Amino acid sequence: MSGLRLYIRSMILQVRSSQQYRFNYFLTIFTVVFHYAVQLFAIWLTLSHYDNIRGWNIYEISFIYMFFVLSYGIMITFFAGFRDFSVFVRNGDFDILLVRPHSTLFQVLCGRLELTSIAQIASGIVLFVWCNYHLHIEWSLKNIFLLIQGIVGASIIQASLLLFWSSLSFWIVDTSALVRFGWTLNSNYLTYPIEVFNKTAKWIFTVFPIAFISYYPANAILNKDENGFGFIGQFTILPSILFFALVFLFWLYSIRHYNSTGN
Amino acid sequence: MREISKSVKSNLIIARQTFLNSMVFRTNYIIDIVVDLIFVLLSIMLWTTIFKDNPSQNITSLATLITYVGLTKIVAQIDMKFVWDIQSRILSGEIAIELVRPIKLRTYLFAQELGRYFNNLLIKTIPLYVLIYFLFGIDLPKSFSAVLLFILSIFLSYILLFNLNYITALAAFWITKLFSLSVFKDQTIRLLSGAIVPLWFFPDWLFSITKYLPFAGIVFLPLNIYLGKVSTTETIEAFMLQIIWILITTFIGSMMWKKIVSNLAINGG
Repeated sequence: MSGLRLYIRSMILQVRSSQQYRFNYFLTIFTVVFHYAVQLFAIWLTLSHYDNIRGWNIYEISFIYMFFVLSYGIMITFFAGFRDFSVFVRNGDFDILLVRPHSTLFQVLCGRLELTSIAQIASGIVLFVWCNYHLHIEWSLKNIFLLIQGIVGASIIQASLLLFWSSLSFWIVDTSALVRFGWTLNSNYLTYPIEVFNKTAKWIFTVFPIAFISYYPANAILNKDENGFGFIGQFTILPSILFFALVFLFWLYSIRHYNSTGN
Repeated sequence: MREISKSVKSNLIIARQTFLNSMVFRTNYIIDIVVDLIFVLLSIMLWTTIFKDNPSQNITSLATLITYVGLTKIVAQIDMKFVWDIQSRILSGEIAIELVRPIKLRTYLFAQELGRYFNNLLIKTIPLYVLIYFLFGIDLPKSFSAVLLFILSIFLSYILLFNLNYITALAAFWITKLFSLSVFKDQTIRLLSGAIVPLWFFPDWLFSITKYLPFAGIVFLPLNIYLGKVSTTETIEAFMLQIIWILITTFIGSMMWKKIVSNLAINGG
């Protein structure tokens, strides 16, 4: 109970401190929206020349993209503390967390509330409305369930991924290249239907479950890939929880292994 | 004459120092190479599929497309590191030192970036190029003169890219948070230079504008020269365009710098 109170208190502090720099706040939001707009425009350009990619049209691919943007926005709101985690470890600041009477994961979560993520969440919602208007998806109870579990599952996987890179920063000094790698992979490649890649790549992205961030949950609703095993998108939540559990164990193991860089 | 040789010498020393500095982090080096290879591999898969699925809408051969996609990933480094250095030095006030240095800030930064560039070329770009050549069989340049023209074009592209980054960095004197401006710069260059989608696939109305903007000179024009997709007159036009934009951006950069020097307020002392 006291943990929850502490968390809420620190979140209130975060909101207050972010209000100090209003202009920067809106500028950052505008920047993020611009970033996604350019990415989408590039997809639109490709598809205005070619009609489809593996039978997926522009709206269906945007629907995949929507899962990525929305789940990233939801996740980063609470997990932003893990974004630049390797800098935190490199400077020796992590040691402070070890002597405090709360779990390290909890303390990192308390440290940061990313309010600019409204940019991703709003972009995601706009995308959703736009795609939905063109795709005429029938919102039966089943599809609503699939949408919610898809977004929740995708957010959990994105969070696990950040936690995974953060755990690695106890072993490798600088993980910024890896964080960038994960991000680019998710935003520039896995927002296409994974059928465009070869079998090996498909297996890798399914087992290391980053294809569950956008492709599988989108496919569960759109039902594009009927003869493959695209149907597993209906159970996105299961691999996401499993992945989080495994990464969390790795996180605990990595902390045990940790030697401070400070002196 | 002695003045010039002295300044060339000191700039070479700066370039050499940055070159050596970038050699320090070896794990990162391996990660970077592997990451770039994976991206090239995935891009090639993606474009090959798109190409094969739509046989009627293709305007280039698959080999050309693969070569283009493979090379874009290693040719241009759009985000230059000095932009962030300048920002932090402006915030801390250290930038004042630049005013009393015997070398101009622009020249100093250029020498520094050049060192980083050659380091990157030797340990990353060329090894990656060889790897990609053997793994995916990308096209080699058609002739020896194409190689020379390509190298010249890449050099011009590099100066242009440096100028755009320099202008962004100087903007930090007015905007203390460079993050936003930097994202705008990166994304605009990435899209309009043809680094994400080759300019061939742009609709005509957009292409006719884009090909005259400075960004086309960064990725699209050099690669077209490499691929031998342009005639002699088009090659000359491409060079002219790059040179004109280099002159314009250099002018803008030096105007900004003049303005900064004449009313500079330093943070801290």
